[in-house]
Amino acid sequence: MSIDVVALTEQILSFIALYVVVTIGLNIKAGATGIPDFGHAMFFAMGGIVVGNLVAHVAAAFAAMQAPELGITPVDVLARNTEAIAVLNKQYFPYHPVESIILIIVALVLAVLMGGALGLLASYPGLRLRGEYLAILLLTGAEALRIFATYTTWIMGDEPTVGLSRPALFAWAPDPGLAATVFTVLVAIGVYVFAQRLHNSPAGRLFRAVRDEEDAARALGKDVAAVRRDAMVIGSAIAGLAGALYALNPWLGGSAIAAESVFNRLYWTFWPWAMMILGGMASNRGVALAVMIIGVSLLWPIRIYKDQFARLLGAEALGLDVSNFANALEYLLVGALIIAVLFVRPQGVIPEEPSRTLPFEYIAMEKGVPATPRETLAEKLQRLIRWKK
Amino acid sequence: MNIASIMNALTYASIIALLSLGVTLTYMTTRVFNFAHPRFSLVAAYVTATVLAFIAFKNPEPLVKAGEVTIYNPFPAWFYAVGIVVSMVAGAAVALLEYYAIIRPLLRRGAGYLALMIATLGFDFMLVAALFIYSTHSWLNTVLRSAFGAGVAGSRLTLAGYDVMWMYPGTMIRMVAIEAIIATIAVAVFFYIMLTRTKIGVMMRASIENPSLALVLGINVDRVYAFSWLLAGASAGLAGYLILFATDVVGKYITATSPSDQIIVSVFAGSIVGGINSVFGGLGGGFLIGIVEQMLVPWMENTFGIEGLMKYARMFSMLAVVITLLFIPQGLASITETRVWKKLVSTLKRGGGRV
Repeated sequence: MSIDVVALTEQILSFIALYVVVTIGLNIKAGATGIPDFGHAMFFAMGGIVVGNLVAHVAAAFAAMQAPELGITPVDVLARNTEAIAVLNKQYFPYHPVESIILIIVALVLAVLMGGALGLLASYPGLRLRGEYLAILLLTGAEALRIFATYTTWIMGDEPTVGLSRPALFAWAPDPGLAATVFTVLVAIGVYVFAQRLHNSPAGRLFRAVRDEEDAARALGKDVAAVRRDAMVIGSAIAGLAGALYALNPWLGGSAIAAESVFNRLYWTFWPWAMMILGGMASNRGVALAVMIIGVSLLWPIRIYKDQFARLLGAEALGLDVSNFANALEYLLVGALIIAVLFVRPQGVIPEEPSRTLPFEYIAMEKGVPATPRETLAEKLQRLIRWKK
Repeated sequence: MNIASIMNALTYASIIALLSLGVTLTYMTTRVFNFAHPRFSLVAAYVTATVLAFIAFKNPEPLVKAGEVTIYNPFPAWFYAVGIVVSMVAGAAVALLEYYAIIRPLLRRGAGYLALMIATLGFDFMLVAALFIYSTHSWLNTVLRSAFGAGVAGSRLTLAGYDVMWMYPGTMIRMVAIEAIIATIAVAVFFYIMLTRTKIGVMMRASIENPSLALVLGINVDRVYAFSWLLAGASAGLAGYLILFATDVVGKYITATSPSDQIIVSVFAGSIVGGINSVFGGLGGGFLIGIVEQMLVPWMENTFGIEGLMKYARMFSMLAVVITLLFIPQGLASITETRVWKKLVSTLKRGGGRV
């Protein structure tokens, strides 16, 4: 049994980075603001569709300008998707690094915009319904979109049920897998830093205030509807970004972007929920930790080396089917972890942390309010002693 | 539209209705939206298939000609009766397991609705894992193959070919369709009599309306909740029996994940459209969703000449949910209680309902 350690590490890192992004998007909506979004997959799917459809169009337009001998025009992207993308992947992307990088940036920007736009649309019912009703509405909404996309040629190309071929935008790199992994991890770190800053910012505190005491927030003059809408847009935009990462990274997306895979309820709604519950709602550090635990334990032994792992556990001797046994272990692991966490530690592995705000002098300086000059330690001690007396 | 497809649509609608009923029932009593509910029917289907494999025997002459009609009768009537009983018991057992192992302890800790929903999801994952292991186990495959032939296996389970069928020239009537319709009516009658005429029914209504007052009056609310989970599980088990013998109506084969992953959203749609706070709303809403998907959409396809509309059939039930939640959030069952037009006008004036 030989293990390709490099490929495996890249795969696990890509998986972890992707799930950090997806779950943080959900965490902003569900964890921080309390919107029970069970339709997270539809925002994720926006990113995948952006890469497979819109970006492929732009790429074909570039190719038509720069390499007309390939005979690929934007029309071909939908009319004969498989052949057109195969030609681009072989003969265009490997020789045009600058264009590929531009396309990657375009993909990320468009994915964020599309995800955010769908989030804005979904926030319309989000402002009117609460609790389980909203959860079911978003779940069915995502399912309706999935069915629509699965059979619609202008979204999913000439064979909508098969899906769109994945444009290999990292083909210019000497090692496309490594380049994609580094890129995905960098984006994930960026999203994590953004989420942490959001958590500590006044906007993040307002999100949690709306979640905890909506009436109190309203009494303090906050526009609760607008806050929920903002959280929905930000979280969905991050989900869209994750969808684009999924479609760009050759370790994650496979060869085709199908409606069945990008709208997958299990992978992009329920698993992020499970990881958020595991890590702790509204806790970005917890989410990152939970994703790492699940990512390493799931991918390393179960998903990639399932045959060897099953043999190690003696699955065949017990009359079990190896690949289905590995599937079952995946479900068992996630299900058991969810229930164990809900029973033992409902607040998650790392519970929500209090937001770290700036020191008063800093804020006073920003606002232009006269503040007392920073006192020395001796002065502070003196003041405290005086106060004690 | 011919008789066979109408029968298939009614079977499908009955399956959705029975499952929606269970979702509604557990939500009304314990306020749990059970993601694992459609999976109960798959568990029941597997258990039933296993038990039936043991009592199945080869009938020497399953085909009987009676004039114009050919009757295909592979097994005697008690075989199917055993199947129905086993499936209901299996469904009820899984539901009680979920209630006692997961829901009740979490309710006692005062878990919120999100924690409960996620917990049912976790339980669902564990059921899937169990089904993955059981359905592909070589023992099950040997048992099924020796009883029903090489065509039936655990990973592609269906007993649709072992149902009683009456073959008229030009059409075919399956017993499972008749069973489905009778089952739905019987369940509706059962719930009507139970909720209005029996002590446990009154206790259940009291526990739904005001749990603390019911507790003060000496009603064992906990046992009433368990009873409602048992009923929900039994109706899901009945749906599992129907799925087992009418697999082609719902999907292709029964596996660890299908067809419950495909119909779960229709089931939720049924219970929301019908009204999540009414048992009969759940039953009627599920039936309505099934009819819309299987009869209204093909009718629209034929009448308006829109090709390929049938592929989008499930989308219509989702749209029904969106419209229901935005305009009549209490579901269709609430309409019969108030004056329809007044309600509609006031909701339109307000520009959408609030929950």
